[in-house]
Amino acid sequence: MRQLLVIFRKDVKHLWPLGAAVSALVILHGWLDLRMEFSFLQTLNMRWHEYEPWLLFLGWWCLVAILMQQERTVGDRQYWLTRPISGAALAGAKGLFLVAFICVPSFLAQTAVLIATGFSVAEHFPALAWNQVLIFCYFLVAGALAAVTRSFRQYAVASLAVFAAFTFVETWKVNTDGGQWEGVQWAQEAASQIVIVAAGAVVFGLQYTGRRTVLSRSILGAGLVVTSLLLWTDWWHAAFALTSAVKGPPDQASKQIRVAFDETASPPPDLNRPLDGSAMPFRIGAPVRIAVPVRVTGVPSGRELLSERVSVTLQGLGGAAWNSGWRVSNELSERTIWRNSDEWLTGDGTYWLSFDVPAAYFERVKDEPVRVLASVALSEFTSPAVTHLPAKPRQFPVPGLGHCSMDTINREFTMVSCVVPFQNRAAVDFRIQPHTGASWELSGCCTISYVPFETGGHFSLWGDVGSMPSGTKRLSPDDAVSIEMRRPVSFFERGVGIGNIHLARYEVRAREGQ
Amino acid sequence: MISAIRTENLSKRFRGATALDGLNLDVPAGSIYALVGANGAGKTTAIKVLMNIFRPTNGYSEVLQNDSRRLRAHHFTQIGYVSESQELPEWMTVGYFLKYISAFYPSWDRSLETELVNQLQLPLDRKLRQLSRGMRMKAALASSLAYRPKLIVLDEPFTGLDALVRDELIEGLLARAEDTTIFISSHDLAEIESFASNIGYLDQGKLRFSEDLESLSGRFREIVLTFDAPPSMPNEWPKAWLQPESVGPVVRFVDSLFDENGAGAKVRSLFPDCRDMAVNGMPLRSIFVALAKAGRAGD
Repeated sequence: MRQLLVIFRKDVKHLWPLGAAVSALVILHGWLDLRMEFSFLQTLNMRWHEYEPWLLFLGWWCLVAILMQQERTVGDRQYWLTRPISGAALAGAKGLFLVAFICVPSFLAQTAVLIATGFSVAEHFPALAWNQVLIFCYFLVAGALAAVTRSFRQYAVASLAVFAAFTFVETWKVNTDGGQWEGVQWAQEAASQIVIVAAGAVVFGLQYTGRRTVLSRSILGAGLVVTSLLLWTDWWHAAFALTSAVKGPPDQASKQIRVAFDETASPPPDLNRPLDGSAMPFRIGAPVRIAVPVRVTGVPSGRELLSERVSVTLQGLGGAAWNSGWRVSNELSERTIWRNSDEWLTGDGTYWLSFDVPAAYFERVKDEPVRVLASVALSEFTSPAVTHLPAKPRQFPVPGLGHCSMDTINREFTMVSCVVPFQNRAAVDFRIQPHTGASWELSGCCTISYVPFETGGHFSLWGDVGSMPSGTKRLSPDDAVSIEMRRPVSFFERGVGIGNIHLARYEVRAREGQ
Repeated sequence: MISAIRTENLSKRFRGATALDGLNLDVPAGSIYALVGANGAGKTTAIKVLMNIFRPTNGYSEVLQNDSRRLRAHHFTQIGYVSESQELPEWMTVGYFLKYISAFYPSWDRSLETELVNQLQLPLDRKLRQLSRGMRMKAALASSLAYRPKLIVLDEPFTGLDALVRDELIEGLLARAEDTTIFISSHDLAEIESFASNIGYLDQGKLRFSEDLESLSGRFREIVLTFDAPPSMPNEWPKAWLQPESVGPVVRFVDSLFDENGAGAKVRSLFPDCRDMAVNGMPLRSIFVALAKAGRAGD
């Protein structure tokens, strides 16, 4: 412990100007967080808002590298190698420095912002503290990278390579069907964090106790590859199952929920409107959209369902089988075309189990009896708690969510936005009832996390800022605006077995000329 | 006899290149052992293996009775290591460096530190990066002597230093050599000769010999034989006679196993016509040149 403090004091003596500069960036970041809370739109227009988090990240990133390379572990000329300086003390001193100059300033800044914006520090303390742990973990990994590189330059090159690889993976993921995990995204974040942080911690230990650089580089490289794979591959269903396990089994009432084929219902009607961009079928070679009517029963009062994803297996009479996998565009809904927005199953009733089938397979089996086996992943939510927003003041607290505000852009568009400390745990929809009578809504605020613990490691206090423009309409003071908030209760799957139907009967078609 | 350093068949290879090849070394405790050899002979590699900076490819080594592969931080409270290529924390002043380092040594002696600072004329308020190479070496030496280590390991400490600084360093070292083993590597034989008690010669990763300096100096002689006419060289040239040269009626060679009593008889048995035999003592440098040449010829 004494050695640890001696090394820590030495690092503080040498690096305090850099530490102070980075702490100043933390204060600036906190101030911007404050600005964002008071006016999301104004902050959006600030250039600083765009660049400052990167500046802060860069500052921390440099601090970590310079700190670690005070006593490089790669090489054979460093004075400390032949001094009675224990690796554990050295690693501990570096960790303490990161806590003192990254976690503590960040904690203080975020606490100050919470207090200044009227949020309860006590209520958010676990998330606040855990967030600093996650930030520490990020920089532990950066520290591990610095511990296996010979110089700042090598560290910079390695960091750029890692950054480029992860940017590629993220970009690729966003543009794929399986890339949107929504409420179960936490599992992907947590798994990748656990892998990379474990690899970083092992590397840290190896380098400071035995300087096994080749082994350490291999472990860190393997950790990065596994992390990439965790981000790259679509293991959504495992994440959903994990979420279900974390949240516990549904209560007795929810266990009565059933989904079954509704033989009495009519086949899907032809679409009687032009298709918009989100409607996928009706292109040559594109998948064929199938919508099978199913009856949902047993939805408890005070609860609503959200269809997450559906996996469908088809088996033709001739034995030709096909499985969709857990696709985002497969859903149980009132609509037959996927629109990438939440649609609530508000109670018992007949809905469409819709999914895309490859055109070639459809052509093979469309006129023969086909067995359909579907698994529907359902999230059960509370019925919405509705908060009616006053036209004035512009900014107002929404209990259980955060602070919301309404802004008008260019005197034309209206935007409702909410800032939520850390990760948001409620499904939020905005509804506007114009005084003229026509009802319209702005749905889909705020990415949601289905678990009650933080997995993000946010530099910013506001883990999520939701906003949706209200279209081309400008709010009038007489318009009624409300926020609907649903909270997740449980997660489960229901199977649907349908024997011998003709797919052609359930194809979703556009009317000719559309 | 207790060994301060001992190695058995110690080898180190770097990507196929052999830097150390079966090194068997025994450094007696209390000695001033000089490991000499040309640049690239493997001296620094040997020291870095001993200090657990490099892992050996094969073999075993121990330092102060500890397996060198298991040398941990606390072992270095008894070992001082100074190297010409060592990277010091250059942002520190000499004073802060000594203060910082001292915190890791339970046996750090403040009065000895002050003594060393005065003797080596170290400017305490100057940053290490502002110091000349010689001054940096002195600072490193002071920081390695002030805790009275049992073993001081010096890797090419005099390279590139002017004569005055070298003398100061040697004086600083020798003044505190009591009860301490000094293991020093150098390719500069002139300094070594003045104070080493034992010497080992490393050539291409192999230890050609290792013995105390007195015995070494005693067994090497330059022999000059004079004849009336150019002599015919014997068919069987003794292996211990190195670097034979023949110029007209004069034959010159280095006897590496010189025996004062038997040398004359041995010469006469091979050169019965020898008119005169001159026996000259050899400086260390000449001995090593002879050995190096003989070694290369032998390879």
